Amino acid sequence: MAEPKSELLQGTLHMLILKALERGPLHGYAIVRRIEETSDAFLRVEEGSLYPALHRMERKGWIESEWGASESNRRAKYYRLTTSGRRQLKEELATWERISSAIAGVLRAQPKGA
Amino acid sequence: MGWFAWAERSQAEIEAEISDELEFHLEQRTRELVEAGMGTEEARAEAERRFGSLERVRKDCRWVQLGERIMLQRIQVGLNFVLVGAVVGLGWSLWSSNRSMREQMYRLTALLEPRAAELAPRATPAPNPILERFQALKDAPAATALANELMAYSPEGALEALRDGWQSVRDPQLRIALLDPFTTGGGNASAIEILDLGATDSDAAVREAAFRSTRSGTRGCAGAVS
Repeated sequence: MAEPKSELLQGTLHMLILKALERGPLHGYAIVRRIEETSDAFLRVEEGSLYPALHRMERKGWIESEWGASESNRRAKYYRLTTSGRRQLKEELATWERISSAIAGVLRAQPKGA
Repeated sequence: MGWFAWAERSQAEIEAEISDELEFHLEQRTRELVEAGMGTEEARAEAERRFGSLERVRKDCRWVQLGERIMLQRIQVGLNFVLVGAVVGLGWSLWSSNRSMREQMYRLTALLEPRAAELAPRATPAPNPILERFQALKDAPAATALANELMAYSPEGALEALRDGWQSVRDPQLRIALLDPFTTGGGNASAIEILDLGATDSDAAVREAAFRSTRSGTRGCAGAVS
């Protein structure tokens, strides 16, 4: 099994997928590549784990899928954000901002008396 | 049936789509690695390594897509087992209770049969006074006297009483004496049938006497024989 360079935080995979799809429909492999590229290969998704997550998100109605032809003219399943998916992405980003700024605040704080 | 076939086909289709999608991913990664200079087999192995367990991923996807249906099928199978179990259990309990009931009945019967024999009123044969009198005959005059008594009955009654008693009279001479009043009196309507009793008798002397009285009409036969 592939060892990810940095383990994805629980729950962030959904957010990364939604973000990757923000600019248009992609198939699963392209989503993995997009996440790799935009994170300078630091966040590497354990590739297989992407698919159960995609299917779960489709069931939740955040994304929808359609079979189409890939760049290599091979049949591929493309995923696209739905309105509810966009709303979900906005909520998750807002939550993420809050958490990360809170953590950053804690890290920046100078110990008293130092 | 139609719906069931549709559901089955659809399930197979979903599984095929999952396989297609995952295979596409592996092919893409392999191709990219080959383009980067890796050997085909090495590239495929690397793609599979990065992917993780294909079987586990396939199972997870299948569960997300078909979870409810699989659960429903399991519940159905479970319910079927419960139903079959209940039917078998019921059948068995019915059978065993039936059997134990039968055993108890046998035991009760075996227990009661000897008592029943003790308790049952003894069947006493209906007394037949005429028959007893036939059996008690000692000599020819007594037989003639009994026959004379029967003469007083209706012809049918006399015939019936004679037929009943005939075999119980052992002595042929007494049987001849019994015939006598019917053949000498000549007034009995059943005389012919009564004579027939004698004519078909097992003893030759009795048959002889019967035939003789037939030929001689009203003449006594008892006297002729003796």
